[in-house]
Amino acid sequence: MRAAWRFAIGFVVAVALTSAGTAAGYHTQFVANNCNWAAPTPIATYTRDASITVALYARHEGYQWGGGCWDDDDRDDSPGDPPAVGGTGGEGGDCSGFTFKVWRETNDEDSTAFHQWWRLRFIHGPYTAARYQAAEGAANYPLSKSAAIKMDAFASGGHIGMIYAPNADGTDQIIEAKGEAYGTNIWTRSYRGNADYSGVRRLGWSQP
Amino acid sequence: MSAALAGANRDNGERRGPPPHRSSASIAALLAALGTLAACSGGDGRPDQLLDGSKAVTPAVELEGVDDAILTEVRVVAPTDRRGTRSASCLARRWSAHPSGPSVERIGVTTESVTFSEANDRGIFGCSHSAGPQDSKRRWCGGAYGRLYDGSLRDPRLDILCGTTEDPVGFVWVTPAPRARYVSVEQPGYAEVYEVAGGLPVRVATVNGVDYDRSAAHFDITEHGASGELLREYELEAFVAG
Repeated sequence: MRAAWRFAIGFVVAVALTSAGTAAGYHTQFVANNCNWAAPTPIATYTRDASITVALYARHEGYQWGGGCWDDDDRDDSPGDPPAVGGTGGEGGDCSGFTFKVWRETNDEDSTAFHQWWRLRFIHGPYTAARYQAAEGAANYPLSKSAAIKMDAFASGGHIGMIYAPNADGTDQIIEAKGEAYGTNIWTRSYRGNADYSGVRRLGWSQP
Repeated sequence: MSAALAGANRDNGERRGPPPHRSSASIAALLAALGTLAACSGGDGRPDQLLDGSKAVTPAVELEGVDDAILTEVRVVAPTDRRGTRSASCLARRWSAHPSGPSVERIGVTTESVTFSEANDRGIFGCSHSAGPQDSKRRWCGGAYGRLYDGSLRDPRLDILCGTTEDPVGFVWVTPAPRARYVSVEQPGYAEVYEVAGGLPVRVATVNGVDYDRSAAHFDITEHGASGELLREYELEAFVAG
């Protein structure tokens, strides 16, 4: 009986290793080949408009579940990574990692300071979409959706996107890391009228 | 799964080294956590009590290959019995998800959690907490949501939260094997054991496996049947995502 269990355990491990090997052989090693772990640069001021500029660098750079590193060549250098597989090391952020980096937040949840994470610095940050929705972390504040303006965010339990520009019809142009098949871009979305989504504001914006 | 089931059959007595990129901060966290545990234990690294002050006990059965096991508390709470419970306080958090059926409350050595099933089996969600310098600021350090795809999580929904010292604790949901009765997670100086309950994934924690720089955490996990027999043993590398 014990030998049978040994075999079963060995089988599970073999399957896991085979899967891991497949993933390792599949992805593009973008993070390993391009990204770094440099310390962030604290900055004293940061405007909403400046954050739009930061966000636009990530546009067309792809999407990576659990990711947080991209360059600026306007293409996804790791297309078609398996969805919801973290650690494959591809290019792009996911929705919450993208927001963290664009909002220039810190790993210290008690801090409202702005930290500049360079594009090629791999960082996701401690917040998932669910945690953004609950406005957890000192830098994040719950916001009435009707009061949301550019570069505030709408978050649900599973997704977050930032307002690039409100539309007259009550929808918004949202800049977001949407998914592996879509990448990071600007789409018209109706999060403002969707009960699954809550408003979140990054605190401490500087005046232009 | 965003977590890699990094295969590690330790039956031959070997143990893999730390994952690549494990930072010096993680090592500092380990040392700090060990210091904390030494201060509240009998000196052998095994804590004497759980987070709520109750006595730390061993599981009713011996778990194959697990030393210094501490059984965490678990309560399955019916929706009609939620008033005044951890489940109720968790639901006071800002959620768009609506609970369905009983919740599962867990109390470990330095952590606690609540897990709910979302209505229509869309997902699971819940709150996590740990004793630490930030715990006085809010009832729950954080909450997690995981969408279910064909009844399963695609990834374990890592949350990096609060901490036993200045360093954070990592929480993930583990989906145990069908026959598993216990899930054991290696901690510094002991193993934290969770009973499978409520038909929900098990929210487990690591106090020393968090790598802040990578927004990742590492878990050493075993799963056991009702008699304590080993069913699965694996290392889980999880990433904050989504």
